[in-house]
Amino acid sequence: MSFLSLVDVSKRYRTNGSELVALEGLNLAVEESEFVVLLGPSGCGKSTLLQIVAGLEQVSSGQVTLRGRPVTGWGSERTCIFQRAHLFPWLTALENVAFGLRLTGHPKGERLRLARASLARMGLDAASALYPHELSGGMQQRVALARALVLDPAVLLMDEPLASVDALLRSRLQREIRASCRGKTVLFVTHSIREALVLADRLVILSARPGRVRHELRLGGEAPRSLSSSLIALEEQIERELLEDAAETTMAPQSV
Amino acid sequence: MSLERTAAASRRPARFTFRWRRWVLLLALATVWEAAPRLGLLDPLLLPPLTRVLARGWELLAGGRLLGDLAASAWRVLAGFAAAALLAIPLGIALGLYPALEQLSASLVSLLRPLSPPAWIPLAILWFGIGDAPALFIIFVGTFFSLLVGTLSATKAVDAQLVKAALTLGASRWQAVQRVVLPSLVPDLLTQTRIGLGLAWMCVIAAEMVAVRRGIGFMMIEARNLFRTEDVLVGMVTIGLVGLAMDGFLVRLEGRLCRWRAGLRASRLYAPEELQA
Repeated sequence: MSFLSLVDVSKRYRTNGSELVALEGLNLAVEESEFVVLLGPSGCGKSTLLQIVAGLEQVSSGQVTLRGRPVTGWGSERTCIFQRAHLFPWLTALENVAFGLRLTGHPKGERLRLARASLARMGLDAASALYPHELSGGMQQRVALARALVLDPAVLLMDEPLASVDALLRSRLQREIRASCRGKTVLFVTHSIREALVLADRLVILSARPGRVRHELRLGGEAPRSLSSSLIALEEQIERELLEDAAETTMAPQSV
Repeated sequence: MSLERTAAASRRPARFTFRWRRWVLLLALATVWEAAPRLGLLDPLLLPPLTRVLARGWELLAGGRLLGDLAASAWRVLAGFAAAALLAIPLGIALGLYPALEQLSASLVSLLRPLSPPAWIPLAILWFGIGDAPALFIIFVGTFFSLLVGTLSATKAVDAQLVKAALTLGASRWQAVQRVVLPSLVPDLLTQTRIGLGLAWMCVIAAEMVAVRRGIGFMMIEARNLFRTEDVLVGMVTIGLVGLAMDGFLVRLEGRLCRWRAGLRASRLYAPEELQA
């Protein structure tokens, strides 16, 4: 049994009588300490998938298990990083990082020590007393990462965490994410093929709606990878594949 | 020229203008109030000059009468408002969190809310007679619905993503309410309190004029019966000053509790440098 496994997972939404199938019969197994990137066209249900693993959404059918135990509801063992940092604006950076520790009842001194150490690992010692609105977007996302990692989650879920930062910062943060998540089990969603190729141990490509696993790819070498000509060739190949997929779905009239 | 130098150059005169501007209308009003009755433009019996009103105010203050009435009114305001807040805020949050509850209560709230507080006075007197009880009741109904609707809409506007973030950091639903919803509401609740206390003062004066034998409202209506215009005006000035003090206190509290908010003011998009305090 895999560390994290999704077996035959489907998700259907009902809206005004019509039914939207977001995911259908999706199977995915993630091993411990594996960095898996989910890649797919927008609307393929990759965010939905992440929300299901987080426990924020329920499956319509199928099962999600972590360490052999079915996932029901949310919890800090499956922490999320979102596209925007979603820091609590009334708490300083340090207090934000300590937020989850407070819920688990860590005594104040220990809480602050752990939070400080986590911030320091992201290179944010100097920012600990600042409020979120005083931080840049990249710094906010780093605080969010520190806030998640300090809880030592079994699985770290990342939903396009770098979609709203500029290209230069993006490649830097990609490196930081890989470095700070060493040894962690990570499920990372992106629509950027290049980002997926740079970061992933294993790449899972989803088909357009309804989402299911179209293609899996184990990437060799140590991530984060720098762009080589073979990586760029792979990028182009995947891009073609995704474009074909998109063409198929637009051509086929959807009977709902 | 550098931006900083421009700002520095305009800072001193700008501050002066701003302070002065704050008092100019008040001074003009005071001058007209003093001059008009003295020059015979207005009947001093109907509008005694400001200085006479102030002197009478000092007399009442020194005699202890004014403070007694003020304390009676203030106590009613605080007690009535606190009761309304203790009930309306948790209820408003619950309605904001659960749509079914909101739908259940929507028509009732829309029906009762437009009833102005004085509209409740006859019923309050029938139910509670004369004394503190009807006054408290009127303040309660006068502020309850405004607080309820304000809390409800503020709760509905809480950022769901922040709640999601809290849940995946290990919060239970209830912890998310405590640690995310409540702190998100603080700025709105302070605004609601400012509005609510203002409303409560309007209610208490109205109630005291008919249903109570002490308080600023009663003092004013008694003064009117005895044709002591000075006393009526002392009451009005007192209400104004109390409102000013209350509001000043709450604005300060807001500044302290809501430092984390980067508002439109801080951006200086609308107010140019010269208008900044």
